[in-house]
Amino acid sequence: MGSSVSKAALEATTDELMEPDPKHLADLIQYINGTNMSVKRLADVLSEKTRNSSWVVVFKALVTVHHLMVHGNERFIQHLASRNSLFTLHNFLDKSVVEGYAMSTFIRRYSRYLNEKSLAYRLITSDITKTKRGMDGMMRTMNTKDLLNTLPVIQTQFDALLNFNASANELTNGIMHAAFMLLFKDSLRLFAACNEGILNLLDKFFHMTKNQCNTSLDIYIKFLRSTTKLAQFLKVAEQVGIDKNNIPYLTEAPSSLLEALKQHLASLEEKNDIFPPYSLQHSLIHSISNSSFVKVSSSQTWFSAHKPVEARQHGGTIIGNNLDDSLASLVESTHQLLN
Amino acid sequence: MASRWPSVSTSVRRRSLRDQEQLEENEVLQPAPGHLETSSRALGSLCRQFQRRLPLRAVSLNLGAGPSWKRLEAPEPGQQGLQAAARSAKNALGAVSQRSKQLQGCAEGRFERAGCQMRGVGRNMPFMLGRIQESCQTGTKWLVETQVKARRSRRETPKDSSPHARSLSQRSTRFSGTTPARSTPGPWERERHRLSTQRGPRAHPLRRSRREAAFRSPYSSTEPLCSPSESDSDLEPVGAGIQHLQKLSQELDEAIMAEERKQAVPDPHAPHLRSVPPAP
Repeated sequence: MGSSVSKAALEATTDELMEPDPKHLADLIQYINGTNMSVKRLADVLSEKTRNSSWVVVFKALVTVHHLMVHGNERFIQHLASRNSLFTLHNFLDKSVVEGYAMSTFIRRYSRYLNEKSLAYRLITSDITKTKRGMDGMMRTMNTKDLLNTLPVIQTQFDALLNFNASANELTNGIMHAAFMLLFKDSLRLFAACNEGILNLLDKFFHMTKNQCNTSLDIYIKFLRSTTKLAQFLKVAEQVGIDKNNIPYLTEAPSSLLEALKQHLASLEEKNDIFPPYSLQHSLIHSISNSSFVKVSSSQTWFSAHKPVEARQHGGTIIGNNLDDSLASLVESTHQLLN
Repeated sequence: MASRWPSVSTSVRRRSLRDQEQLEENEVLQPAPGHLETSSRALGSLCRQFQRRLPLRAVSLNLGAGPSWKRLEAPEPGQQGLQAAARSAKNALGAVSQRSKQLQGCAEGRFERAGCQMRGVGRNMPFMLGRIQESCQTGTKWLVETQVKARRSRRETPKDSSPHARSLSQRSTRFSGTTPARSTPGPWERERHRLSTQRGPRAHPLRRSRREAAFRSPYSSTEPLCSPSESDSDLEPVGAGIQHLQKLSQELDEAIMAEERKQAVPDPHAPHLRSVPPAP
């Protein structure tokens, strides 16, 4: 790795209480996008910085990694996704300074989000924030099976982003502000992908099986909760000075839609109750075939039940001449079996 | 009408006159053959007799649910018998219809004025006569259909290709209450028109609308054949929800594109800045 790049990486992650210098970030972007040189060393340098004890250095390293994920070539995030582990900051705590306690909380949350972002790339094999949107986009053209596998992954990453949960009062320094801006950028794209996935899901919902409908309903309910949290996140974005034209106006989805989906699932479950599972059907048929009033083959029995008594006497062994008694016995045995 | 059915007009008139014998004491009116319209004089004498006559016995009319006439002849497979029966019944209906109309006009206008003592019957007379007319009209429709069937079976030609059959179909259509196809109405049409205008459009509108509805095709009704399906009510909230999400998708796309346009503006304060491709 070139000295300029390593220098840029080190310069971007100093203990100076300010956001990483855009100049250094631009150099790193240029290295990733403009050359074919390995990004492994760059990732190692930045990962090493996250093991620092100072919350400032750690926070700036995380912001630099996030910046390269968003603005850099996909081969950087591809490399991060291939690593066995990325950031192990779930127990980080800087007690050396007063603001260390509060900032450590956001570092833990922020590192978790970056881990989920790289994991999502590994599972989906693409960066969902950079995929094509629209009617011919990836999420709108996905089949049911892939949709039900992909949407939960996106929702997990989105939940990790929203769990950053910083209010406008807590964005007190440039590092937090830089992290929030990158999270805002990701939130719009993640939610857009999620929204398109939900639209595709609704198109397919009424043709799904019961289990698929169950999973889809859970996904939709989770989507509704995420929408509510995103609305709060966007309020913070507006308060910190982000242009209103860049903030979408979110409205609540009609509750009748959720009711309609639930009713459809309930109807599918009722049908499943009327027609019992295969194992129960098999035992029921076996019980009926061994019942005392049926000695002839099943086909003859069902046909003979509709013929007059004289016609039935011509075929097979007739046990019961009275159709009413036969039917009553059948009903009784069925009732006993179900109880 | 009498000119069309000369062979049976006399017998029909005699039968209708026999009905009047119950009301008359001395005179038997014999309208000149072929001049049924001149029975106004007969009506006048009839009314005078009503005034003189005290007391009058109740007039028993067969006002059952269905038509009050009997078929003159059984509907034979032979076409001639069927045709003759249709002709005779048609003639009888026409005479009875005309006579009932005349009686009604007399009953409405003159009985009350004259203070006739048969007021109780007089008040019911319009209603009873109206029932007779309805029965006549319903029977007329049956007669027309019978004639059509007879002609069809005799000629064995498509109904629409024959001009006479076409005229019959037009007549049947007219009797069903639709707009007549030709401008010059036939005798049946004139009779019906006269009856409807004299009685007024409000007379028995319910029965008329029911008859007309029965003649119309069931598929011409403006009402839906089935109630709004339950599936429509289920799809409404889904459609509304999808529209909501589509609108949200548009909002998100606009916000993302606005942000990307903003990022595409180069930073003049970055000396080492190289061309960085904007994030998609």
